[in-house]
Amino acid sequence: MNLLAPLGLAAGLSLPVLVLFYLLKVRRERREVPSLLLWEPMRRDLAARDPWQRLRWTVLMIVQLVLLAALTLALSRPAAERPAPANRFTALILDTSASMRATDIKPSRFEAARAAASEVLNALPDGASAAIIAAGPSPRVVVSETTDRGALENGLAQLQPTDAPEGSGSAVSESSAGSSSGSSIDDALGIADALARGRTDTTIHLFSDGAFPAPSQWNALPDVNLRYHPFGTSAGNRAITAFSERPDPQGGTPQVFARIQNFDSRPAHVDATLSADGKSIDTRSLDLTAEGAQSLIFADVPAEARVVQLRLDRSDAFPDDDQATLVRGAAPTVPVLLVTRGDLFLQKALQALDGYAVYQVAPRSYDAVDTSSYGIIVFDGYAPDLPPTKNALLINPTDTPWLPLKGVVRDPPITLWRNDDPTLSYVDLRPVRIARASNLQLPDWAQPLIESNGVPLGFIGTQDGRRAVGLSFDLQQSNLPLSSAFPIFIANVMRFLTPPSVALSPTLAPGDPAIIPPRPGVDRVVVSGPDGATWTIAPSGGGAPSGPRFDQTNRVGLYRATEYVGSSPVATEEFAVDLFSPSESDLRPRANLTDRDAPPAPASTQKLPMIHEYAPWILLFAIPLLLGEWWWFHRR
Amino acid sequence: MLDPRLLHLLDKLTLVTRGRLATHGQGDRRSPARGNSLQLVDFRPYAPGDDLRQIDWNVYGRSGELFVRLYEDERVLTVHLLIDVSRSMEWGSPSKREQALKLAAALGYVALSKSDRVMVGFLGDRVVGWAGPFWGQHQRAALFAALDRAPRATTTDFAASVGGYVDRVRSQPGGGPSLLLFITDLLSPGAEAGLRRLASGPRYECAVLQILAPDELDPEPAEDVQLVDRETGQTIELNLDLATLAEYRQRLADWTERLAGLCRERNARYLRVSSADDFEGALLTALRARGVVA
Repeated sequence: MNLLAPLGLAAGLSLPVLVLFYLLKVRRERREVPSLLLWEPMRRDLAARDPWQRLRWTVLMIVQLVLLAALTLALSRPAAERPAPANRFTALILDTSASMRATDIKPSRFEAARAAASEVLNALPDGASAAIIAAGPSPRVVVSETTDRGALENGLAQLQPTDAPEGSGSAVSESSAGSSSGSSIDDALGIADALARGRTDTTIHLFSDGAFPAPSQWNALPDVNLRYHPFGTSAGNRAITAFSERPDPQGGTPQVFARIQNFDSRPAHVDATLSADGKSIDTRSLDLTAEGAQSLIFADVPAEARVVQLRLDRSDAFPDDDQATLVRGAAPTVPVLLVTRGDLFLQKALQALDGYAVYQVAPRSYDAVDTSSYGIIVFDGYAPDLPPTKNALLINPTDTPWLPLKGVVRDPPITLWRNDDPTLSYVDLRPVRIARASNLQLPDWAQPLIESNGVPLGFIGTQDGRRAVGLSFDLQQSNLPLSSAFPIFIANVMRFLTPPSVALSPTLAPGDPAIIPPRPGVDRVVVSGPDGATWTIAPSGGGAPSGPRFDQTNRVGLYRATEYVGSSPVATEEFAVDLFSPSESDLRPRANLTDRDAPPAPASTQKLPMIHEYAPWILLFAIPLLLGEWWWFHRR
Repeated sequence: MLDPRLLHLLDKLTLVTRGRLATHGQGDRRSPARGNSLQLVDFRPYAPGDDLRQIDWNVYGRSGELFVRLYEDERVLTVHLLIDVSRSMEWGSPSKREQALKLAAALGYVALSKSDRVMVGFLGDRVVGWAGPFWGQHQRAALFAALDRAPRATTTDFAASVGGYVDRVRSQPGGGPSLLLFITDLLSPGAEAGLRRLASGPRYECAVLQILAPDELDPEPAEDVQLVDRETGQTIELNLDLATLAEYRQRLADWTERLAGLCRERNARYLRVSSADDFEGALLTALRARGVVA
């Protein structure tokens, strides 16, 4: 045992001082008596004027001596050197990308990687901490650094591979130290390095099939032991790497295009079967050259068929890229709420637009409407008291606190319009005449779009992510609805107000979120996946402003989103998730990684013994003793 | 000094003496000497020079010889009030000194009411003051005034002070003291010697009234105190725990018992009172019980 502060022992001088206090006579209270005649014989201490007295051992003195001794010892900071506990940190990075689902290793590459990772966990010494990071479409810390083996095993067991290609997402961990421009493996290595910061013994295990470019971080982590556990063989693979529909240049029915690629150094033969709405309509036999690819064009797909699928019937080690699904047809409509007292031109212009479903209410009923289901709100001759919570078109807005009117302008000539703005593309406002317009005081977030000598006749802006376009005049007070510019302008504006995420994209990559805009009045949306799994989401769930967000798109195939009002399904939308990732389909390992040992840590930081101080324990002992002494003193 | 209600009570009292005390002057007290009172005590043959008015002519008629009637001579009793005015008496609330002077005033009032003569002596380490003689009811106020002006003494020496008083009284013409009332706390090493001097006189009676304060009778416990003698300034350090206080009470009881025994030996009356006692009630009752007043 060592003393970290030997000078603290000087406090031990207080012990003889305490004894000195006990040797000194106490200062007694003077009390007068008429006479000492009767008291005198009872005098016990004959040496009354002697300042010293005989030392009498009392409980209080013993307790106080023990207290002072303990405090003296604590001040000298006794400590013992102990060997440092295992400061080993191990990060397990598991590749969860689609290629890890390949079955060239039974049962799959991922299961083999999981088993190997479990073995590494079991081999860790007691006290060593570990973390598990999934490197799929985006790196994700599955289990933060812990020494709890149960939590680590549980996290490992719950980990599942996705159908998403490696590095297709973005980093989700705040502790990610990797560059967003790198691959998911790179980001995962960065996260592991950040978790290991300050450690002297860190090992990162990467369990992957190597179907990714060599990570730049591999050689950028000098103080970390890196272990690469490759899984997979050089099995060949055939994949559909493209499947889409394009219009017939001759004006006939749209054609379906597919591309079949051979990721093998040997030629291969495959049969490709096309089905429409579940019915097989065509089969093509293909002889693919080594590393070759062939394109297929299907011209006679029935126009009414909505779901077109292509399958390669020669199974290989990676079946996920042997199928592709195409959902045809127009994009789902965007619900538009039109708040108006009635404007025939506006109604017609909106209804003429494809992809929008217009629902009309009177201004007095607006407050009672749940606007969460609408993608766009068009206010005509009305403005709500608060800024709208959706993208909005405001035509001739009434005076509101957030968009006040400064007055009225009569016969304002249009002197300036921003024809470079998308909303005014191909819009010629020169013949437009306006009889009367409001002089709007534009808020900070709005810019004039059309002006008349400095007075805004139209504006555009974005506030808190919500877009707004406005006209300061009544359509009835102008000839704009009669001009050819009006439908173009309305179409432009609606396109501007329709966020890209509002429309349900018919084809997604694995892991991409699907935005499902429900129709007004829908209670819930039930999504069924290609493997039969179902998810129920609320119309306002998911946090997306334009509709519920569905992000369980990890498997390739066809998904169906059924909207329910009560127990009745009112609509079904379909969307497909396809891999189309040549890098994932090429199962052959590419990353040529080798295990690398970190150089030994500098002597000053290597195996430093751990100093264990006893002062806190001594103080812990002294405090109850002090309380006991106080109690004993006052008990007397 | 004394309120009217107390004075009314005192008017009914008289100081009690056990025997007939010889003194000079004529008063209401019976005397061993023959005098002119109405109390017939004896006859003797007539001798020339006798007062012819004292011849008992009835005896002469029966016996044919002249006899003179002898009447008891009613003399004045001298009451000596010896008051301890040392600093030890200035203790308690009310103080022992205050109570002693009040008691002396009451006893002097009773004496003067019964035509007794009153002498006052203030005792300390010696006789530090005299007052009197007071005789007659008209001198009550003078007695009270003298008690009001009682001197203060620092220490006590009973042997010297009592001896000095007795010697001085003896040196005065007309005989020695008659009834001596000593009011003191007796807290002095010389208390026993003083009592011996006091009680050794052949022609006087003595009563000792010891006044002690409640704190002296039953002191409060205290830890680690330095007791300071009020008279001498001497100190002792004690721990007034229960055992020490019990020992003190025992010592006090032994001390007062020894003094009471000494008084009994000297045919003196002894009475111990508390300075906190109710004057009209407990104190006068105790005086009656001890036969000091009747």
